[in-house]
Amino acid sequence: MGGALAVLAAITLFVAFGIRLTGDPAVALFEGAGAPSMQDIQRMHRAFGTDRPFLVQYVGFAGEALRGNLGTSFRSGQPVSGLIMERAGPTLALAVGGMIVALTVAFPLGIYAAMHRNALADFLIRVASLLGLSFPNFWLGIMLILILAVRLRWLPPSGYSGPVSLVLPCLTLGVILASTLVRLVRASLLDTLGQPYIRTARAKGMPERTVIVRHGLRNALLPVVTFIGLQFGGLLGGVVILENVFAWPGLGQLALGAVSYRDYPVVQGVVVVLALGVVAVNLLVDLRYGLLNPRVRVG
Amino acid sequence: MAVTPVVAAGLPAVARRRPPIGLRLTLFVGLTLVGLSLAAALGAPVLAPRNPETADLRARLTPPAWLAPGSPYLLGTDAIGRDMLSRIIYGARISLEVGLVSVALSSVVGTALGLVGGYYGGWWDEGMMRLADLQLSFPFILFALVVIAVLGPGLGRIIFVLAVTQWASYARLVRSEAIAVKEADYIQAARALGIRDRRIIWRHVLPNALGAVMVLATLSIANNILLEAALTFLGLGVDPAVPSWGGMLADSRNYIQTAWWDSTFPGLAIMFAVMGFNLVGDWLRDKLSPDLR
Repeated sequence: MGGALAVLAAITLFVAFGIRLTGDPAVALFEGAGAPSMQDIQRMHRAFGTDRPFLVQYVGFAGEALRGNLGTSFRSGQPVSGLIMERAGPTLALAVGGMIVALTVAFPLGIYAAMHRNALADFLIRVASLLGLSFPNFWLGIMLILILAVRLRWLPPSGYSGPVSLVLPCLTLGVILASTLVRLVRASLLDTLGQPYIRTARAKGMPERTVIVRHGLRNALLPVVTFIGLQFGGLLGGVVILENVFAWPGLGQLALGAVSYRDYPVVQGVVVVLALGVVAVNLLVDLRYGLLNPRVRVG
Repeated sequence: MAVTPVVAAGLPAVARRRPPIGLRLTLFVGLTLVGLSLAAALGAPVLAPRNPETADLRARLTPPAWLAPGSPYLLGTDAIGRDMLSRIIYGARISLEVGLVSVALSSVVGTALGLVGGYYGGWWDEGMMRLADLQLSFPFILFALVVIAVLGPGLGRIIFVLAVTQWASYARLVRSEAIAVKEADYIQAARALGIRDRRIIWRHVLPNALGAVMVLATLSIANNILLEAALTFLGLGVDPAVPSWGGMLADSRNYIQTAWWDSTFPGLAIMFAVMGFNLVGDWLRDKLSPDLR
């Protein structure tokens, strides 16, 4: 827990400090509205609280954040938590949908490849996963838009309008995630199948399917779960860029916009929420680890 | 708090695997793709049929030559009539420069820190590992977003961001190798003979870790090319005026309905280059450190 809190503190401190170096929110707000006077700027700073020393601002922000108050957006004047609630749904839908696609693709293929090691199918699955690893995820998104939306007109190209618009982004994210996952499932299962207890299970006449599922897969799951957890930060990167490609009104888009408007509270709020998510998932993985493998103690 | 995976140290090596189909093919295709990208990057001024910056507004969005008979633009042109082929060839420079330089920086720094930390241990090692943990749990995209917002986009900044975020992987990897070998008999023997630490590290510890480092480095080149393209695509990468694959894809977005070639070819270029390094990295992994698989 201590480690997790330290990570959260370090990330928020870094972001809060960094974002204040990017530019003046008051100036950004007046952009396009003519040159503001010195008094206007100072008045804005007093209203924003940005006239105080950095550490005072940070401690104030952190204290409020611990009480669940993420402040008010400089730009829209709305509470940051409301803005985040609005955008968290689409992001979560994309991440979960992508993960579901990835799991449904990667597990069957990985298991099949492991069971037919070095056969043609294994080779083809390996090539396919390599292709998936070499695509830029946003380019895969563009290509899917090009083929499925522009050419075939099966799906809407972008935007967020009902469940159909989920298909393309989730497919893109899922394919990219699955390419790594399939290799991991295969390697992990192969490792497990080489263990003596698998030989024992086979020797006592257990049907192969039971061997694979009950003894092999169950133990092979550990590294896979760890990987999914560790990937979560990377998944976030993928989500941010895919939100951009698909004009998806999620947290990534909110953060990108807020950075360019120098909207400090929104940037900080999104970062707190995302970092909290990453840290929570890592913690969860540690705990699940203990459940899947009683030998591991979470200390 | 973090769970250390149980390392199967000392177990007899799993029976020699049958060489998978196409292992040699892997190397061949990989080296070919890497070679082609390197050739494009190094020989761009010679290979590119025309100036990648020259716009010809009368020839804007010309389809590839096989769809537009008589067109001099083999892969078509972009929205302001610049030659796609030439821009793609020049784009290799950015991608490879980012990939190679960022990996060179992070791998050398990370390896050095990992060697020293793993071999000597102590507070320095402890502190470094805490920092590495922190670095690794920091979501890359948030780090990149803030740093680029502060420093502004640019080639050097991208390389810096990538190098800073990745030293920790090397440090961890090399440190664990160093710890694993430093108590080995031959190193104890070398120490008993009075050989100095520096020489032991250089001659015995480093070579043991080098295989794993090379695998990680090769795969990281591929990954960093992808990350650079993604950042440039978001407008957080290299200068949009410089021909780069990510930048070309960003430019192409408004013309996806009309000019498929604009959004297709730069992506293919990224894919081939990245696949080349991935294949070579895979081959290295099979050769050098099967346990990394």
